Amino acid sequence: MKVSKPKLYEFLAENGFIIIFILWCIFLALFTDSFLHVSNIMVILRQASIIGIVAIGETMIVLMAAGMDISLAAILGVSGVMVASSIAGGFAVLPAALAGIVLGGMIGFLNGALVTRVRINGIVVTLGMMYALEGVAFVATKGQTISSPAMQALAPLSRGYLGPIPVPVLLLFAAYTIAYYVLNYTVFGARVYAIGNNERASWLSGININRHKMLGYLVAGLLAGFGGVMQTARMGSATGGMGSEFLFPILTAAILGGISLNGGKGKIQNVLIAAVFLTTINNGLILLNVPIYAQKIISGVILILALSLDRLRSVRK
Amino acid sequence: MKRIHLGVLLLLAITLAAGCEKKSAPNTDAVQGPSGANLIADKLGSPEDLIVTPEEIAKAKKTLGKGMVGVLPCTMTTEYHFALGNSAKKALEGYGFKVQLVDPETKPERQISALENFTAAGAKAIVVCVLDPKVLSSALQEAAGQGVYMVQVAGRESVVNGIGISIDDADLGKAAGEYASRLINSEMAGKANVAILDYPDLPNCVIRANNIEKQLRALAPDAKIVGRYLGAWQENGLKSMENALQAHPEINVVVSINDAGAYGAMQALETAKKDPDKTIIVGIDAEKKALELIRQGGMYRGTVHTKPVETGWLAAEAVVKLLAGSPAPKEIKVPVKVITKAELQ
Repeated sequence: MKVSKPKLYEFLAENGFIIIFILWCIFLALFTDSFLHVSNIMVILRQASIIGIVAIGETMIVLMAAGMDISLAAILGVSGVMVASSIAGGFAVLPAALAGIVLGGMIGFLNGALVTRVRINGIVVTLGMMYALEGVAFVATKGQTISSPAMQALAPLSRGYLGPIPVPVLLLFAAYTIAYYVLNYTVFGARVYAIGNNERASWLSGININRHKMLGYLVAGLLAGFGGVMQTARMGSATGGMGSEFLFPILTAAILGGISLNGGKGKIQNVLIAAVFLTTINNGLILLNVPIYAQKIISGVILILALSLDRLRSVRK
Repeated sequence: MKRIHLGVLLLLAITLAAGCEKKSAPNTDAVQGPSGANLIADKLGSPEDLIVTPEEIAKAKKTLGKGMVGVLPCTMTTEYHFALGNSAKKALEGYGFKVQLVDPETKPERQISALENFTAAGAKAIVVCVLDPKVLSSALQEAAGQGVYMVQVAGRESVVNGIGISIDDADLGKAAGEYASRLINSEMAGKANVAILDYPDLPNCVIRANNIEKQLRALAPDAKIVGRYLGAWQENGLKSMENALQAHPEINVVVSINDAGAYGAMQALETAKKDPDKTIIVGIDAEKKALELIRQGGMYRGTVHTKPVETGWLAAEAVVKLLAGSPAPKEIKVPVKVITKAELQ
């Protein structure tokens, strides 16, 4: 059976980065001994968990064409610092963790208020917020690493297992199951897509645009706060700069996952695959013993390839 | 709108390009400023050469008059730079000098602005950790041209119109590599599987890693270096070692270009249930957490002291020497020291 050129083109365009991801996985399976080991797959998923969870919030904001939240990594950082400082200061682990998540939510809410009420561009607001929060984190830590033996109580959140599966991996899949359900099977989810597709038409049909955008920023802040708790648990400590490592992976997961920057288009499950793909690149390069200096080149080439295929879709349309 | 997004992403890429900067690469094109400090160029000085007398302090104060001293670290967001910047500021204030500190957040362009602002505000001396000598060269020479003395606390060879004080990154790497080799030879009969944590983004970190590797190859030739992995930050060290252990579960020694990356490696090794008595980690920087881990015993066996507080004090003393017009070596080398459990007890 002969596959026509347009059909092949369409297939590639529709599946974009996932094809590159699968090819990369096949390559690693063939040329490394340990890529397909369960322990390695769990390592990959565990490393993808925080990026993936926080990227859900980013996805919601981008889907509503409410800008792009650049402050999520900084919210993660400042929440982590708050959790670590609270525990080191003698607070119990659970209230400290909740305080970190609530702090994230409050900052998200503030972002949302500035975007929807004061009507400042979302990117500008969150860029400013990122700088402010980084400053807060460094003032709070005074440039030191905050750690305390009491923080061991947080460890199960990052290093614990439920049966054979690490807790962060379970949390990752739980978060995506909920997000998938909310975005695909609830009125709220339908409205998120509707606002992104045509904000004016949505408003005319009676959707409260501001309320939905505010909610999007709030949820993104809560998830970033939760990411901060998870990262603090993973590190067993917190530093002022702990969030900065997450900025690009979070944004890249959403973009690579095919979430349209114009809003209204994209599948949440693809963001999960993108988060795992990003982690697999680094993991694979180490398994292949690629010299450290060449790793960036290869990472960049793989990402460009993946994004190029995905962009075929928009070019075709 | 897409263009705006892409523009912001590009901006962020540039913003994030900085990393664990501590000391910059030397610039051999250093130009002596015109204000003619009383410097001894043909001798590499030691910290003892900068000890100041009450007379020198009084003379320096008189020279400073209503002027001020600027302190411009590489960043204030790492323990090393925070300690260095703060100790220099406190020591200068202790001499009764007016001091202003600016955090450039590892961005050379912010250092240029700060140098210009300090000069405009009447600075007579600036303590600076030069992030990139090539980028800052013009700004440093311009400030020097206006009679401002420089005390450079990184890449001392490139100092302009003043005194350069720094630890050699090569010395740091060498000390870590030597100590790790000694442990491998004495406790593992010379056979080990070693991972080196590197940070290729910054030349000074690469110098450390190169010297770690060089020492290991020379002093523990039977040890196998399984690879150089991304470190410098705890998260990097953790991820790299989690991945490396999948390919090389036999790794039992990690030597890191700094402590932060080593913490992450230690977590990964602990998660992999490595026997602490048969596993060795050596870092650089002597951070508080590293010292605590060494004191506790276990796999974290040593760290090389980078002496940030002492370097800050020395920078303040160098400012006094320059303002007082006293003779002082143009370059001061700060010696390094390996901290072990025995040292801490």
